[in-house]
Amino acid sequence: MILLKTKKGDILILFFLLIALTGWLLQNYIWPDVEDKIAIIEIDGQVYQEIPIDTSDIQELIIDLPEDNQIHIVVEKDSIHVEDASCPDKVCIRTGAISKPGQNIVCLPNKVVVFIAGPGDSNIDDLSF
Amino acid sequence: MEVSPIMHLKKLFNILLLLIIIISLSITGCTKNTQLPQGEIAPTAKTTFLMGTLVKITIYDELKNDSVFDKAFNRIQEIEDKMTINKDSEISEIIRLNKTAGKDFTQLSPDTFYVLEKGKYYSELSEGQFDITIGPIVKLWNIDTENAYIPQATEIKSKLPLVNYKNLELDDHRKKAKLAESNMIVDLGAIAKGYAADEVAKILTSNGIKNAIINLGGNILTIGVKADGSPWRLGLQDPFEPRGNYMGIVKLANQALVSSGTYEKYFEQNGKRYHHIIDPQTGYPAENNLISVSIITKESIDADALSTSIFLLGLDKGMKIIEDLANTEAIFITYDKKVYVSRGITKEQFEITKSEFQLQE
Amino acid sequence: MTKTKTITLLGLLIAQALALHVIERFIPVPIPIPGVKLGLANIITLFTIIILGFKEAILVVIVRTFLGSLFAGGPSSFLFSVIGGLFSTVIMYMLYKWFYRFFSIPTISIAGAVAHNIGQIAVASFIVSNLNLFYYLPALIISGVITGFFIGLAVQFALKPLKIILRIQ
Repeated sequence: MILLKTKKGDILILFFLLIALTGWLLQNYIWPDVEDKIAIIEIDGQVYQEIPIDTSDIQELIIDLPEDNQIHIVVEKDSIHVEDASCPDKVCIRTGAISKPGQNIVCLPNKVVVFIAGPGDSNIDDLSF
Repeated sequence: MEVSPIMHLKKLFNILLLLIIIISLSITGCTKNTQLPQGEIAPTAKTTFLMGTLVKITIYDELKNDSVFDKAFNRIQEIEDKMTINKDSEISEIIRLNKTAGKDFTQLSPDTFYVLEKGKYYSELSEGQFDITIGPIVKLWNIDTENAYIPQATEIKSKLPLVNYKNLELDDHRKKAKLAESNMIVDLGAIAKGYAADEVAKILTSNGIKNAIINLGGNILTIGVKADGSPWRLGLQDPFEPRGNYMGIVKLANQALVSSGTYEKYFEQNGKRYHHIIDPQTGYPAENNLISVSIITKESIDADALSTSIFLLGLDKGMKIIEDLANTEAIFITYDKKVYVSRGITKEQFEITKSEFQLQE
Repeated sequence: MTKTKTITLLGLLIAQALALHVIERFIPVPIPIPGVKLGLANIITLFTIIILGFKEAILVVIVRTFLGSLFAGGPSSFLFSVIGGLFSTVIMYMLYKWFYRFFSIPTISIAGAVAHNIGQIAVASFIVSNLNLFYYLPALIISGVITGFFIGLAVQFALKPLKIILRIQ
């Protein structure tokens, strides 16, 4: 095809793609899942709540946000998801359930982030705060 | 010289292969070892939301079924229902007490009466630096909610006379209580969680559990010791870092550990931070050089009430009171990262893990 | 090109960009991360860079995102999407202007799409002050490569006939 003439630099894109693919494969298939995960809910950059998700029964959490907004978060065994939120785009609901360290759900209009963190420190049995 | 595209691809694959090898090596190197030492039982933990906070119970004994968790959570729910002032609860005895302020005595359950008694005791002990009737001021500040703002000085001034624990009348015989003046509000926020933890401990112990940790929103109550006979190791929150980072380790056996600090709940307005520990004398968040106070006691209710009381009393007066109380120890942290501990805390019992914190003699 | 012709063309491009911007709202993206889109409007951006130049492309992006946020979203969504759009435009312009010898149009478009996604995620992390959002970077690069490639193809195919219609060289 004469229209698809490639140029020398185009190979660079392939390289980027390969790196990204490696990263993606690592995250999804190779990186080990861990135990004792916690889900951290942050509102406006502040930690609002930490929930151990390995040990939880189903829990519903309805958080009131500024300007009469609300976000409804559901914790299930080993996962957490946003059930409902008063925002226009609903991206956070479509993200679905997350369960692996690093994964996160973002509700930008409400400045809410839910993300999974790895296990706590095994040097201590619990934390006083 | 032209290099063929095939050559490029070969090079790329080599680089990719190298990357994968390096990364897989680094992963296998840090895989967590989940095997438990011989004879040790994996703990069972459950978490839920009660009393406006995260409740986590971890049991280290062998369990036949999970029913003990339900019993414990139901008990906390019962206590919350009786003592809340936040929900418009019909059954809350505290809401009833506040509504009949200035009018009548209210009949209370033994639970609520006991907590009120304790609250009044610590108000007396701290000579009003801690005050169980702080409700009207707390309502003004709203720091627990997203609608927090600085109240008008005149609003605070008009509500301050309502704050006076001496006007809480307790009838020990009939388990009745009365607030002497109308519009007074009792707020058990600084003490009810402590009581709930003690009650959970009773339930666990009566169900044969010997080793457990009860965590009510950061208030810790330990039952027994670890399986190997050594004390529990509890991280103490670094007040300058996000939650989860600890500055030291406290070793406990059959004891409660409760911390109060300016870092827990606060909001910022005009560049100034307003935290949730309100000084009943001024009606504003307490201002001293302390950032956190942690209390170790036998019962969680004492640690809970004392952590707020001692914080409000400040380092000097607070330390004096702690030294006079039996089975009570305290750890103070100041804004300049100095750490003061009461005499009963040995180097063995409290270990600072972050070197920027300086233990003062 | 005469001034009148440029202005008319700009108006047309903005209208088309806006149409694409609105249409793509109705097409769901498999990766639900704030601000990640197909980037259909990038067709117009890249086209503007090639036909008219940098300043015009910036203008098209700003007006398009502004009007787009009027249709849905609001002021915060404007600020959010305009930054990704501008970042992508700058990258595509630089590649087109200085490295045209090395990169074909689909590649430039891919770079723009990836830049757009990275820009969005950077703004989003800044808004919520949480760097965890970069977890989705690999997925975003992959999706940028795929969407960018097809958008680049569209531009490349359309370029010649359009140049004839517009009577440019």
